[in-house]
Amino acid sequence: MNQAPTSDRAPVAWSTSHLGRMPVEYELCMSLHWLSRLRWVAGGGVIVATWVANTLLGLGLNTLELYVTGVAILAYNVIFQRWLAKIQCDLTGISASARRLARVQIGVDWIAMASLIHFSGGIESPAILYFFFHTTLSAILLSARDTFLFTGLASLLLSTTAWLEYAGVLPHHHVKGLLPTELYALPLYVFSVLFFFASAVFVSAYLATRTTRRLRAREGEMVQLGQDLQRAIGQVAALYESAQAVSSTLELQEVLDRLTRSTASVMKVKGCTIRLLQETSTELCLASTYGLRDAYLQKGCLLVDQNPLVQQVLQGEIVAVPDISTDARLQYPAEAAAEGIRATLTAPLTGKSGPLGIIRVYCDRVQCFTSEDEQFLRAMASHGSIAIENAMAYEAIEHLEEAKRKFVLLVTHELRSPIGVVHSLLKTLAGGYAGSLSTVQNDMIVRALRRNEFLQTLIDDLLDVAAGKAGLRRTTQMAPVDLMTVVRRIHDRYQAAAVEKQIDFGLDLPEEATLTVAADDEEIDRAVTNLVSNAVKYTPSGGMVELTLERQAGAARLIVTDSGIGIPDNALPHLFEEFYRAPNAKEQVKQGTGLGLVITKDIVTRYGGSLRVSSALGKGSTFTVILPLMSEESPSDARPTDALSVSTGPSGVSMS
Amino acid sequence: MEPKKILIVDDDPDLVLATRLVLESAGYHVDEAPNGEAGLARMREVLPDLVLMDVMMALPLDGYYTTQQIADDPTLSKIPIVMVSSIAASQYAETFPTNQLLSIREFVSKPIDPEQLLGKIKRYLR
Repeated sequence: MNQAPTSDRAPVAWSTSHLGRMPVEYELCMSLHWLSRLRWVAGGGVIVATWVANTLLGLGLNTLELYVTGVAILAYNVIFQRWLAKIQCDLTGISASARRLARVQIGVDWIAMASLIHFSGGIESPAILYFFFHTTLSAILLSARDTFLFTGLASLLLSTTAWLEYAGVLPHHHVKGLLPTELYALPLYVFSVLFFFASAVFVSAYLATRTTRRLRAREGEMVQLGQDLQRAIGQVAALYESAQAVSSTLELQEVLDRLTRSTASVMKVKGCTIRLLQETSTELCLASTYGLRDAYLQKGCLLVDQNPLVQQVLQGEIVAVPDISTDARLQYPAEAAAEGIRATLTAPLTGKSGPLGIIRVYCDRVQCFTSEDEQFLRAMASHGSIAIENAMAYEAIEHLEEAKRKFVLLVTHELRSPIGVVHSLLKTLAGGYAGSLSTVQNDMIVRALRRNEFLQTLIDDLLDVAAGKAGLRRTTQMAPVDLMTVVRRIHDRYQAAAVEKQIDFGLDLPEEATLTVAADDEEIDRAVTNLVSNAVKYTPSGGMVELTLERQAGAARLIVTDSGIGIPDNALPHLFEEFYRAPNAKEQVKQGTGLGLVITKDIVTRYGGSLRVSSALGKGSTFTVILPLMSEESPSDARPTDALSVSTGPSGVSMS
Repeated sequence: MEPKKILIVDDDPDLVLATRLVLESAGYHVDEAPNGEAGLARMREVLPDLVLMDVMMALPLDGYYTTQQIADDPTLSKIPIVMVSSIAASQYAETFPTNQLLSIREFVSKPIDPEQLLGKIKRYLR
């Protein structure tokens, strides 16, 4: 993202903790504490060393002055500690006061050092070596400039002390035990000591500051690297999040809106738009916008052939307009300027079959977009394109489903109504409402009626199958259906036909009052009717058909057994194929659509049940339907499954 | 006793012919109208004892909207209506929410069985 300090694009949310700030300042603050602790040792050290040197070694020091210096060091350290306590090392706004404290501390230490040296023999004192500590310390704590300044001050202090003592302005405190001869008055000695001191201390300062500077530069790089890494992680996270958001819906408008919204918010730009290529491929019209005012958006569609920028984008390039006021490629520069847009970046949305449209981000500053921005927009555009294409495909499927549904409805009406009218006319004739008929006439009309009825059944079955295939079933209309009632009703309905064929038509219901499934009553009726109707149809006179309804664990079991013609083994695998009829069934009953079992299977399966058949040729067939019972807690429990299985009885082969 | 008047509102002349024959043979006086608009006018004119209404007719007024208008008219709203439809009892009935109307007394699904129709009508004209 853009690093310009004037940026209104807020610091990215994922730059967390101390990574956003140089740790040097934090370290300075901590070093001041450390320096202060060292000073207790230094002050105490001066006092102890003075006592040891004088009492044990008998060096003949100026004890009083040195004790005073040691106490003075401890005393001013107390003040510094107080001062330091007010400075919080919490990384915010500490630099100025901490730096001032560091300067004052080192300055005062320098003076204490000068007096220590003065009282311990001036230019002859070995304590002058202690200046190297402070040079190193200031190089660590302060800037190079400050370090050289203090190093100069140290040289000046030492030179001044030496000169004042040499000139007799300050008294010289000679340490006889240490140095038998007085050297402070030897100009060459003084000069050479000062020269070597100054050169050594300056070279030390140079080396220390140089090392520190390199260290700090490296720290800075680390910080920068950390920030870049954080930003990259943030972008990847944002990309992932927006990809999730965009892909989690198949509604085209929702996909587009999520895409513009997340792109604009991650890139922290003024606005984002998506324009989709119209079917004519000559216009790009707004499909989703984020962050821009209606007044700007009303400018209409972009004409591809009049817009070289758009042409370039549609060819797969990312095109940046860093400053709209100097770019002639925009179609509506005045409107954009009025909206406060200064720069744009446009990326292509490309699907498998070609360009879909463009995505554009708008910034209110010129030179707003970096190459990272381009990469990011390209990534958003490419995953966005996939989501858009998916949503478009889904929409197309939905349209197709709707068309199918309308077609089935139309066919239902257009096919059924003339057949229905023929039926009514024939019924009117057959019923004698249009005058009495001769026996032959009546017979012919009854035949015509029978054929017409078959046609009706065929159309109804076909529509049922087609509706099932097209997913047009009203599975939403699920209600409690009592299987006991349904089975009893169907038994009643076929009673007359069974009596006519002298079939022993049994009904075996369980003890309980109801067996309830969540389903559509009409569909369950249809499924069971098909089985019962087949059983009665294909059972010869004097045979038996029995309906048995039982409860088993969480389900109802309906068994339709007959002593009919049975199903040949080689016909069993085809039993649930559309329009299939077993050869012996065709022989027995000429008319039949071969759709009844397909419909039953479809219905039972959709309500989460299963259908099994076992049969022995010439002996009879048994169809077993298992339907899950409606549970008290979840009335809409019946979910469609593929639980259908066919077992072939005697031969033992089973399929699913 | 004067014969009961039944109005058939249906745009299919063949179906009207068959229904008319059945109803007249049972002694009813039959009027007919080819669409909803004409049906409404005819209803106000003859004040029938019962209306047989086709659900799906060509616009301007199909059976559904015609029935709505009848329900809104206090002089007509008490006349029983038997809806006739090729889809009323089928699984596509939900597309035409005819059963939400109060004045619809009964659905008859095409094709119409003469005995069944006469039985239903007799119940309302008792």
